[in-house]
Amino acid sequence: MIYVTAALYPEASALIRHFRLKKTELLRGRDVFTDHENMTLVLTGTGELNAASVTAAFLAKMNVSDDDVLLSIGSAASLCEDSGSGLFIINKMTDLNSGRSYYPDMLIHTGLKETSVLTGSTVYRKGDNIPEGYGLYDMESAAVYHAAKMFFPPHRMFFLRFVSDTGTPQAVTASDLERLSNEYLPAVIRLVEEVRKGKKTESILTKEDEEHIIQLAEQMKCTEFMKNELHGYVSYAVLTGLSLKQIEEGLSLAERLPAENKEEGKKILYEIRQFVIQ
Amino acid sequence: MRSDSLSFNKQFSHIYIEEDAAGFPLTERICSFFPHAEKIFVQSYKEIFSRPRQSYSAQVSSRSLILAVKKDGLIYEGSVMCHDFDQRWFYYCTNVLNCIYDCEYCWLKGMYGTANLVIFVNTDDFLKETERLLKEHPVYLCLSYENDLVPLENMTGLLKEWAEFTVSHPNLLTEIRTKCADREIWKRMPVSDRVIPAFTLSPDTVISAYEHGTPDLKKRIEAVNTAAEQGFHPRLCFDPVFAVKDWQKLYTEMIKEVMTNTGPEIIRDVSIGTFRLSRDYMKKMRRAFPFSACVQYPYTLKNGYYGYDDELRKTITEFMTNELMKYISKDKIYTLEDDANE
Ligand code: SF4
Repeated sequence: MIYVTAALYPEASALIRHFRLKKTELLRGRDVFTDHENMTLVLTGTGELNAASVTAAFLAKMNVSDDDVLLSIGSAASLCEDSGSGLFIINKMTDLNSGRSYYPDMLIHTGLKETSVLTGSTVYRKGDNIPEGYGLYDMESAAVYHAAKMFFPPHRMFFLRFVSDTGTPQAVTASDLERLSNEYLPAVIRLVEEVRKGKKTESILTKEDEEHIIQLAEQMKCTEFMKNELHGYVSYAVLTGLSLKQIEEGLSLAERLPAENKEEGKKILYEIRQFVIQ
Repeated sequence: MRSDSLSFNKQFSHIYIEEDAAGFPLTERICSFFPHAEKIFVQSYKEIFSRPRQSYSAQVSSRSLILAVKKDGLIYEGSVMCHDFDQRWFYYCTNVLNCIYDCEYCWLKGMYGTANLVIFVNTDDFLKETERLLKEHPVYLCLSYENDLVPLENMTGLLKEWAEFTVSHPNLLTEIRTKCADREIWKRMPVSDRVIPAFTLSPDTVISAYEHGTPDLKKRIEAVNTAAEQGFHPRLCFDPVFAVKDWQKLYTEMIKEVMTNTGPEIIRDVSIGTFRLSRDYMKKMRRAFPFSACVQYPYTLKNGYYGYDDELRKTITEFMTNELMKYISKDKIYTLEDDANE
C-alpha cells in the first residue's frame, strides 16, 4: 500500500482522480480517499500541527506493513532561483521552530530535481527573515516526516513538492494548485510506478513449515527459548537446501516423538543442530 | 525496496557534508571526484549515518557519502578479538566508517546498520593524535579497521598520506588490511617495511557466496605480488575461515594456489581466524539479513561472542596452520588461539 498525504484537496485532486480513489470514513473529521488495495490518501489540512497530528492518527489507524510506502505531495513557495518552478523531490526538510532536520533516503532514480525545504508554522512572505540555503518553504513537510518516521524507515518515504509561488501566497488560488497538480501528475505517477516495483518482503519458511515447527516444538516439549532455536535451525537448513522433511527423516523423528520430557527434547534439538550444520 | 527492476541512483550520487567539514582539502578533493553528486549540508554526520531504522539492503545499491570532522576518539586501542601480531601498542584508527564491499559476515553491518560511508576529512588531527601517542611509546596502527581504505584511495588519497607519515615516524608501524585488487595503488605509495599491506584471502567459493563486490582470489594474488614487487612485505590474512561444504578441500587448494603464485619469501606473516561476532551485532544482523546462511548459521555463544564450537574452531585453526606450514615456518603464522593463550 502507498499511503499519501497532502494538505489540501486541490493539491491531491489529480492523483485522486487518476487512481480512482474513493472517499471513505476511515478517519473521523478528515477526508480519506482509497482504492482499498494499493493507495490510501489523507488530507491533513494546512500547517505543521495539522500535518503531524493527522498523519500520526491516520497511520496509526492503518496497518502499515514492511512493504508499504509513504508519499507526501503538496505545494511550496520557492526561496531561490534554482527552485523557481517545477516539481521537486525533497532530500532534506528542516523544522524552522525546532531546527531539527530530516533526511529521507534518496535511493531511487526519479529524474526529478532535488531540493531542501524549510517547514515553518506561518505562511511565508517574500522578505521574511528565514535561514538561508533552502530551496523551498512549506508548512507541512518536516511535520509529516516527524510523525511518519514512527511507521516508515527513511528508504520508504518520498516527499514531492511543486512550486506554487515565490512568497506571494495571496496570489495562489485553489485552481492554481489544481492546475499544477494536474501538470505534475505524470511525474508523480512515474514515481508511484517505480516504487511499486520494490521487492516485497519474503520469508524463508512457508506457512506450512511454520505450523509444522510449532507442532514439533510441542512434541519435543520445547521451552520458548528452545522453540526459537528450533526455528533458527530449520531456517538455516532451508537456506542451505535442506527441507524440514529431510531433517525429520534423517533423524527418524516420527518414531522418536513425542519426547518424554524437556531433557529428551533438548537432546533431539542438539541432534537437529548437528544435522543441519554437517 | 531492493529489487532488480528498480532504477537506483548511482553509488555516491549524494554527498552529505557536515557544515564543519566544508573547506577541508579532502572535502574539496572528494567533491571534485563526484562533480555531479547532490551536495546536502548537515549539522552532524550522525543526522544521516545514525538515523534509526535504516536498511542496509535497501541502501547498498545506492550508497551515500558523508563527509565529517571527527572531534574525538581519533585513535582507539585494538580489540582483543583481533590479531595484535605480538605488538604491545596495538591501535586502530577510524578515518572512514563503513566499507564499499558487502561481505555478509561483516561486523560493520551489525554495528552501523547502514550502507552509507563516513569519511572524516580532518586527517591532520588523526596524524597529530598518532604523534602524541608516539611520544609515549611505539605504535602499531591498523588503518583499515572499520573500513577498507584501498578501494577508496583514488578518491581520498588517505593511504598515501598515512604511508608518508609512517615513513617519517620510525616508531610507527601501520597495517592496511584489504580485499581490494587495485595494483596501481601500491605503485604510488612510498615503500617501507613499516607499512604492511595485509591481504584478506578466501577461496573463490567463499568469495562469491559471502564477499559480495570483492575481487576474486586470482586478482587478489596479483595485488599481493604487485605490492611485493614494489618492495613491501605483504601479510596474508586467512580470516575469517568458514566451515562451508568441503572446506578442507577448498582451503587446501586455495593455500596451494596462493603460495605457489606468490612465494613464501615475499610474505611477511600470515594470520588465521574463524568467524566471530558479538551477541548484539549478531542479533541485529540476523534480523536484517534473514536470507544469509552465513549469518543464520547456528553458531555457539561464548563470552558474549558468537562463533564456531570450540572443537570446530580448533580443528579449523590446526588444519589451516598445518596446511600453511607446508610452505612457511610456524613462527610466521599467527592465530587467535595464540593471542588468547598469551
Ligand atoms: S572488506 Fe572488510 S570491512 Fe569491507 S565489508 Fe568486507 S569484511 Fe567488512
